[in-house]
Amino acid sequence: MVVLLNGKVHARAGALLSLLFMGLGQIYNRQFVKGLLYALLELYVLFFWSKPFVEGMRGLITLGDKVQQRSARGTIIEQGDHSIILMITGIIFALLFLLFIAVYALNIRDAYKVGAMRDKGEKPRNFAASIAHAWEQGFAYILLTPSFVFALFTIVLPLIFGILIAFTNYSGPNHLPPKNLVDWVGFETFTSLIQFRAWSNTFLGVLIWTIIWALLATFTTYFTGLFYALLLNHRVVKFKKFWRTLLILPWAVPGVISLLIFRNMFNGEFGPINQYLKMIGLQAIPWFSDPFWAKFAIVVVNIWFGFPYWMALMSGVLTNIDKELYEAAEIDGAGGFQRFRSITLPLILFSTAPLLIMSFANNFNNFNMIYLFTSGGPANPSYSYAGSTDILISWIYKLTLEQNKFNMASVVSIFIFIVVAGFSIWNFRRTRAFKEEDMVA
Amino acid sequence: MMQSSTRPGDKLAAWVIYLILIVTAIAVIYPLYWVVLGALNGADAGPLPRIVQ
Repeated sequence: MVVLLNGKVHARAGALLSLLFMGLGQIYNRQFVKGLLYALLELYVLFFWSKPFVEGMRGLITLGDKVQQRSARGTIIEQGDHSIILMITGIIFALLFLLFIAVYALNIRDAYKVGAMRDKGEKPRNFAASIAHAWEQGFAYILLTPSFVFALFTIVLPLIFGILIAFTNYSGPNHLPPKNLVDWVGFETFTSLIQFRAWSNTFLGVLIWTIIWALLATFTTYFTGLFYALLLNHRVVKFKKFWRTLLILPWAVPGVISLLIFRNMFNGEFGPINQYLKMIGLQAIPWFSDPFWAKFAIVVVNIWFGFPYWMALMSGVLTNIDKELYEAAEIDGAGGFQRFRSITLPLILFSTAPLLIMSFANNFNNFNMIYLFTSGGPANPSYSYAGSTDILISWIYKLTLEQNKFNMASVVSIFIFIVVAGFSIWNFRRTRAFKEEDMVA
Repeated sequence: MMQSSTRPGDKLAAWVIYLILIVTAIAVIYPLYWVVLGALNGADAGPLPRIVQ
């Protein structure tokens, strides 16, 4: 035992002392300035931040216990607790606590390392040398720390908040702060989404359409883009730049404006499309009142919006394909379709597969297209707060901004997050285009 | 070399391709035409209903 301890006696003692109180290990290792600074930090945190931290945590756990008091006339007598502000404050304190724990762990690690140096018979560094050493060794970490802290509060905080909402009853009309308190309800909202027919019907219906929509939107634009890229790449086409510029125009106009125009163009009563149909003796199509035609119109309009991107991208890929490949294939007797299938398509797929997958994830959340074009309509009586063309993200919008069902929206958001994150991870891990290896299958 | 040579069927291909391109160009330009008209009309609540009416 003595032999075991002998080797690391200062290291262990230093680490243990720093674990008891920040800076003690450093003082033990005769790094007085550093030890004092660490100790001052802990004292500062203990004196000034322990009470707000405990209150913050209490708020996060209870979500408030003072209900707003109102007189018979409705004037506020006592404001009461605001559960959502308490929750956000609690999360902020929890994140700050984690940062403090990280600094605490650094302090222990530092005391251990300096102790280990002493065990080897080396002299511990003085304060100036320690600063220089940290600057030299941890330069990247020092530079990254501000952005990490920034990301913690701008990305992680809203994410945690959004997830936690799913475990509360934060919803109208009975649980909306500051008038009412919000409570933790565990997985109740998750089970409601599955058990209650009104919710599960809506969720399943909207989910199925979201998947169909994402697939259709992705593949129709992808293959239309490919078609036009091939067309423009054909040797008989003159003024290629002119055609390319013309076809890329939908990309140049702000989508919101074009979508509102399309909304009017497809208008059942006075939209030009129905007027032209009537003019040639056909019946007017109920674009926005029939679910099938509404979905059809969305997909068609989306092709208009989406194909220029793929066309531009694939035109670039096509011009980069080595012409000798085609010459060799032609000498071997390959026909036009065979050359396309065996040379053009694999090379294009190889270059665009990661973008294709990300496009699917993007369309899965294509709020603008749905909300600005059909607003989710036509109405569907068997759905809760969703229309026939609503996708999950536009349903979430309606649940939150129109119906105040924040908890249910949060559950659906978690589901979307899992799907989109899954696709993204799969994309980055599996797509061969990201690997520097031979692309031959 | 291969690019510049004319082949049998090129004329038909050119006809078909130009036809598709012209039809597509109309389909692309037409909604944009309404965007411009809407802007010129200066309607507040969406340009098209006013134009059509």
